[in-house]
Amino acid sequence: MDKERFGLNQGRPRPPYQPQDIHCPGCGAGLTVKDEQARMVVCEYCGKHLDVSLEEKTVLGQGPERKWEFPLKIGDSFRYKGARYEIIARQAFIEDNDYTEVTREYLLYNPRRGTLYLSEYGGSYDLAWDTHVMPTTSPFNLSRGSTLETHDGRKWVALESGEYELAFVDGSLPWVAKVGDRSRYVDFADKGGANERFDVQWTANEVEYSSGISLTLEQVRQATSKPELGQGVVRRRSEDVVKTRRWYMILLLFCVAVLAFNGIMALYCMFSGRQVLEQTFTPAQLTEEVLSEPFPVSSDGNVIMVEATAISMTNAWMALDLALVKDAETVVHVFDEDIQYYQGSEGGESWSEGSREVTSYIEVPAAGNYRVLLHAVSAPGETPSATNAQHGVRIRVTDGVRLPHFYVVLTILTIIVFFISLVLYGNWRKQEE
Amino acid sequence: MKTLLKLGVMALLAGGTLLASAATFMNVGAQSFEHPEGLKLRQESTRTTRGFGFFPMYVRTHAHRGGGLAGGK
Repeated sequence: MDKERFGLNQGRPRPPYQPQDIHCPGCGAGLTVKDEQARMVVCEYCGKHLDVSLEEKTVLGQGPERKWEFPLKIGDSFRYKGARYEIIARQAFIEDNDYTEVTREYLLYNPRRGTLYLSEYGGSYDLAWDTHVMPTTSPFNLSRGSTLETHDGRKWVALESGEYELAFVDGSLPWVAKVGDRSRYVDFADKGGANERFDVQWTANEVEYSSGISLTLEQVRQATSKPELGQGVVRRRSEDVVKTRRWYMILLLFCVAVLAFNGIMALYCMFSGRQVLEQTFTPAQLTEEVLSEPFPVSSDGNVIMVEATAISMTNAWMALDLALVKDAETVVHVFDEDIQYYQGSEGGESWSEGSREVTSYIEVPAAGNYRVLLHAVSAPGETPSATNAQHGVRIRVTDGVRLPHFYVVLTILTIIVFFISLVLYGNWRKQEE
Repeated sequence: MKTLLKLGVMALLAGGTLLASAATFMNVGAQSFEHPEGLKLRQESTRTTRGFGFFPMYVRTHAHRGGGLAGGK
């Protein structure tokens, strides 16, 4: 007999709880307390808040005069997972003393299933229950979009945080609540996009965690058997924080990928090709005309890069004529470059302008041996014209290069977009919904 | 930033990268030969007061205003 009663897996049904009848010490009205855990009851006749945790019932205070609209009443049913819950308490919370920013919370009681909390804000409903699953890191001071992991391996995204103030309560509660009580909160949504919730709420000396789900209005209508629920109520459009955060992450990751691709390609182009000529020319050679040593262009359609550097040229200019000569006798391309470089100091700050080096890219249709024909004149900066070159030039030719300009522009553009997106994401995280 | 705007920015970056790749590998921006048929260096060279050469014939004059110094540095 004992084995049957007390053996493993020999569960016994919980003894049924008998609702307790009490009398309001304020007005003498008879009240029924359905939750055996109830510590506080609000008299439905005179509105006095009663402490029922002791044998002798005491009046905690009078409820607020302001009447609050609740679409659901004390005693209404709520069906969830095949069980009937009953609304035994209602609370209204406000934020920042703004009575339009109200969250209505209903305590749902079932003697065998424990307590559920149905909350409504701006026409959106959440159903929550207490949980012992705790976060692995502190949930406090997290801003919108921050992520949090709980010890069950779930990952959550912070939706919003703030501070509630209890503005109204009626029914019976398993704790003593006073109008004006404040508690801070952070609400989280499943990072994967499921409609599950994880909430943290704390007062001065207590932290509570709850899990839950968001409910559609239709689900609440079915659960309460009130098809008219929410009719005429303008649902507040709330931002899908998880979705917005995901799009920011996608944009930032996309920027990183595009930045990496364009940056690598820009570097590849900058270091592409093979140097086929490096030769220095004296001012005397440049004043006359001079042909460089021959250099090969290895393939049809190759681009060659011609870099010309004016040697030791400061506060002066150079007009450089160049021609590409095939097989030492046929001029196929003529181009020119203006080189100028100035420097000095003004007001204690040094400055420089221009460059001693210029670069040209030339597409060569046919492979073969080529030379560069050069001629130059140069003079100090204030001299308007010249007939001789006063500076030497070093020429470098690289065969088979790619122009890096387009990838460099895209790299810079992507960096700008990345940082703008980062700033916008940071601002979005700081914003309160 | 709205989702459509984010998509637009990503499309812009992706399209820009494609265009940059096409332009780079089509050698856009490189100079083409001015004389693909060729000019004979010896025939086209001439003697001037500055000497014998190709460029005097090519009629290129260079006058320079003095760059940064002329700008009042």
